[in-house]
Amino acid sequence: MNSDILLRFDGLAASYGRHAIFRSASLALGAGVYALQGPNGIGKSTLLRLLAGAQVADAGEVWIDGISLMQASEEAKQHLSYVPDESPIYPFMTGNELLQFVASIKRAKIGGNVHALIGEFELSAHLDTRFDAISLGIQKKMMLCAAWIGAPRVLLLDEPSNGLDQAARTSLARLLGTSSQNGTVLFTAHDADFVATTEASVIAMQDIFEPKEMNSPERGT
Amino acid sequence: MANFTFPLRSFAQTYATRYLLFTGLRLRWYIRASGDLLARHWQWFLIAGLIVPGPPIVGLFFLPALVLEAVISHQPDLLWQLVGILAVQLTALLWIIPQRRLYSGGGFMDYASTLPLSKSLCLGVDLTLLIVADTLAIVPAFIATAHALATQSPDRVFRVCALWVLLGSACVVQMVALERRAIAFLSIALADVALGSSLVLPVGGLRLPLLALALAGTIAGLLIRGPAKRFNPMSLTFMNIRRTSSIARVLGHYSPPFLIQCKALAARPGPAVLRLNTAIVLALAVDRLIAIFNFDSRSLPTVILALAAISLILSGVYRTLRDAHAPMQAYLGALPISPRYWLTRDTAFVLLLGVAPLCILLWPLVAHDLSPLFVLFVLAAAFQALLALQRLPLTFGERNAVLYRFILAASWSVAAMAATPR
Repeated sequence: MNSDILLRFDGLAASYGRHAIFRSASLALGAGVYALQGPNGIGKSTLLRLLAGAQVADAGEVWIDGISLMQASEEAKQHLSYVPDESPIYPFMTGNELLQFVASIKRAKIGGNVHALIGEFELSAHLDTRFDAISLGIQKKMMLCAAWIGAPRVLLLDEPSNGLDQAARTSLARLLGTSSQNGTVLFTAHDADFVATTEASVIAMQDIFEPKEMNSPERGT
Repeated sequence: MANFTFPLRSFAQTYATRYLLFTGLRLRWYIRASGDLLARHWQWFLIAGLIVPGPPIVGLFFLPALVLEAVISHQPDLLWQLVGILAVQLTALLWIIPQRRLYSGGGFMDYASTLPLSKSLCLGVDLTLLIVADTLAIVPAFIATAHALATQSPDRVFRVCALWVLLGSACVVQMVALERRAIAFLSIALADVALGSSLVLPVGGLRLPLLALALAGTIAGLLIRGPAKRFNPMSLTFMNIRRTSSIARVLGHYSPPFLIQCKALAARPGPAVLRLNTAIVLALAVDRLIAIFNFDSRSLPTVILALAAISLILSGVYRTLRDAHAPMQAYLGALPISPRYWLTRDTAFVLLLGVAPLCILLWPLVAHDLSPLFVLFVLAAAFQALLALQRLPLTFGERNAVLYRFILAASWSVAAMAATPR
């Protein structure tokens, strides 16, 4: 396996009951920003959940920074962060508590980059407010801040721009670009403008059913 | 005539379809959100019916039926009659208040409130839901009715009518409280006085008009809307505390999982407070009982039974914690934590909750030297093991979880009694 590859999956299969979402998805990604695109219902969110370990795959294998997600789950997850489309956070939890919880789980400190992100997203006033009392956009921003805790090598973001205001989208696009220098950022998005701003390499869902290696993404495609 | 009846029939059909659709949705939500609460109520009641002396299973229904009969029986004193009526209404209120979140219909009702649903339809659906939530009370009501009709009393029909007016008023009290229509309580208060007066008066005279007035007051309570406000979970005082306290901040800093567990319990304060208080009160009551026993040989078995009962009470906390974690599972799955992360922490948390009642129960045994310290130490360890094992029925027991917990606690108490020297 190429040592520059940070995210690799091979022969992934997922189904809900008898309905197969996909049977054999394979791909290898090096550092960079990648936008996963495809029509609704093709399985983009399911694929991200499988890659993040949030859902068990029917078959296949995932490697995060060379560590098998199936065989060394905790170690692999130490190197990844996942932001789901919705915010499945305890309603009674505050933003601060979420950050502290994730930091304690990852045995990491809430670093300066996260504090900077909090400032950029203008979250300071909402940090001590419960999740059920803040807007969806603020919830999304909190989840994004939590994703950068522990300097993950692989970032999996499901519709990260949904619900964000324009300023936050611009900040996020810039941040994704910065993170792609040392890590892999894979996100789903239907928003063509956002994808263009991030200069992400577009991956069509249909393409990943054939093994493929993408080490040098063509930006802005 | 044909032209006139056709739209009427069409209207009735549309109304019935809407009613069935809306009721079906609310009931499905009620059942799903409550985790089959109704089934668990019946499960608990039937188990309790097996334990309580008297005819098996149905015996427990006779007690509330007797209470209902006593309330509608002739009393010379209006005050006592009113106390009885208010006691029934208060019991109904205490029964439904913990279920207010389920009755509210959840977030879907915010959407439903934007639909053109008539007030009468909403009222009908709300009443149906209340009747479903109160199904346990229906059996005693029918028993009381049958008893009252079986007597040779000349005013038995009147008593039965009064009984159903009383039950109706209890139902309206529940609805008025859930919808927080304070003004409707005036009408119910008037109905209570009328009902109480009608029961106090001898046969004939003003009894029937007063009963009719009570019925009118009850119906008025149902219909008076005033500044209606549907229950909104966000509006509760304890929920309004949105800012983190300094204790929570410290806990969040040093032990985020422990803070989450505490907040999961605080998010459902009714059941949590009830469980913890019941465990403590039971422990204190048993301390008092063994003091009455003069710390004789009955003390240790009594303590063992109390420990088994406390394990049953506290085991409900597992469900609260599991339900709290459930929506976050997808996110937690992506964090570098063991699959047993919450399993071990939740078990430790429940064991911690069991320490206070355990100490309360064991202290008199230690103070009066009723048993060797080693035996008490083993008993304490066995109780903690029982508390930990009480998690298994939740994981594997599914619908029969309560039954398995009960069997586990009963088996443990039998084994503990056999093992402890007296």
